[in-house]
Amino acid sequence: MGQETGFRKAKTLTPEDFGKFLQWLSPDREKAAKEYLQLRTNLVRYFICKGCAHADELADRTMDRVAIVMKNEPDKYSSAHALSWGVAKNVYREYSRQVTFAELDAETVSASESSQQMLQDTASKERKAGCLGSCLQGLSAHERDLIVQYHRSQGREKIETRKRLAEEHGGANKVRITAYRIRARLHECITACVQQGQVN
Amino acid sequence: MGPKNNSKEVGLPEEAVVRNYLLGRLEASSEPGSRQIVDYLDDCLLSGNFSEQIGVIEDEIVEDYLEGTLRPQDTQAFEAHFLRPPERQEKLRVARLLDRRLKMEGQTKEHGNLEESQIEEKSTLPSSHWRRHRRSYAELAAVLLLCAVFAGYLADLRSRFRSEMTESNRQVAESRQISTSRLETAGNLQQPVLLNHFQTQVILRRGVEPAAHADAPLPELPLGAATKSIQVEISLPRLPFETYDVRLQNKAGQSLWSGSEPRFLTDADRNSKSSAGAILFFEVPSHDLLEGEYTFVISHASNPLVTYSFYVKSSHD
Repeated sequence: MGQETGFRKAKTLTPEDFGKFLQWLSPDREKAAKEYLQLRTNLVRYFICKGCAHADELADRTMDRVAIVMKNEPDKYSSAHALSWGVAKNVYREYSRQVTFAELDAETVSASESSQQMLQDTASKERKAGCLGSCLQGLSAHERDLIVQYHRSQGREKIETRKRLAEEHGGANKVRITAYRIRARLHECITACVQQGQVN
Repeated sequence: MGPKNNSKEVGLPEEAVVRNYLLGRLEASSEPGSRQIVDYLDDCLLSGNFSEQIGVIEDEIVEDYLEGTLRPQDTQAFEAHFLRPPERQEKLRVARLLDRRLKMEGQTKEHGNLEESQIEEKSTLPSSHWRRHRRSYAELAAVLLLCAVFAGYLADLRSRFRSEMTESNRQVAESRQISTSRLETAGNLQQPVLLNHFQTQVILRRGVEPAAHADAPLPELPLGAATKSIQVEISLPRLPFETYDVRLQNKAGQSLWSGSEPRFLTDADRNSKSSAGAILFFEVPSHDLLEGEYTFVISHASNPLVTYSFYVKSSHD
């Protein structure tokens, strides 16, 4: 992740510029911080979904550029969101153009190597497995039962189980989203647990 | 400059389209209208609209990959594009962990609420022991050893199970020597070898096509009601690739299980660099296996390399 993406850099953003940008997002400091974080979260997700290997860096670059634009032309744009979307698309285009095929190949290889590494990283796996155990325990009995049933089987049995769960939980989309939310919480819990080294 | 913020009114495109988008295939497409769909889905992500719905589809792509049910071209896009961000690689790791654990939990419930510690013991006990006793497989051309581990896993049987497993593992290690010898001399890849009550060792026949054995009976694997999983070893004589995918399919070709990370034991593990190749070592849940014909398909980059067929004989009575 520490690699430079190598495309055009934004002008340097000073702490004052950043403060002005937050002020522009909202005069309420707390609200501004929330908006900033939400904007950044969406940008990171956008770059991940575009298959970029440096989503965080690209999101920060986008935010920096938006802040500079806002500083230079404060009256031109009424919405930081709309501006950031446009800037994000430009940043992505630059990324696509300037990250060469060779670099993309290297990234692909590196993804594949990472997959290999993850298979072999037994210690990390065991730690995560321990975390998963405690995170599962942290779910309510109902959630735990749902997620186990949702993932317990394969093939035809899986289809039948999910059909039944959909009937019991108000439809297929509802149960899919519920399962997604539980998985997302488990993912967050595991990440936090591994980072804190709190394997029970 | 601003995007068309009309995603909420329009709704999310159908799932197959979103899948193609997430796999990076829509962007590369020259189909008319694909550019507009990409722009629209970009806007959805940037505005946070349909975030969960897109997340669900993203998770299901990962799930399909883990189960080996992605189409070959999707698998390629998954590995080359989808997995490029480290965040997605982490998602895959956690999904794999979760998938295994939850499938185990599901099995546990079916078999009477096991304690978690028992589950973990069960999953690690035979493999670690077997690895220590593994002998050279250089002579084995392509042999699959299918070991069904029977156990009731009841709490009061734990200690008995452990001691009997220790004994049976010793017998398995010895029997492998015998199997190797049999293969060398008779080339018999079909005869099942019964070891003891706890473990059944079946040597399967290698085939090019799953159905290329019409004139000979398939090796039989007896499965009882208490059997929760089968442990499989596949000895590969050569090691031309770094990774292999293993899939279990029924006679109709329907995929029942797949392993994207079968554990490898290469010669390097045994400090020997001969032509012995590698051994794929993995465990397959057996609750989906009804009586009938099944095939393991070993492939690399979606290209089938070799298949092994066997017949599950249900002995529930």
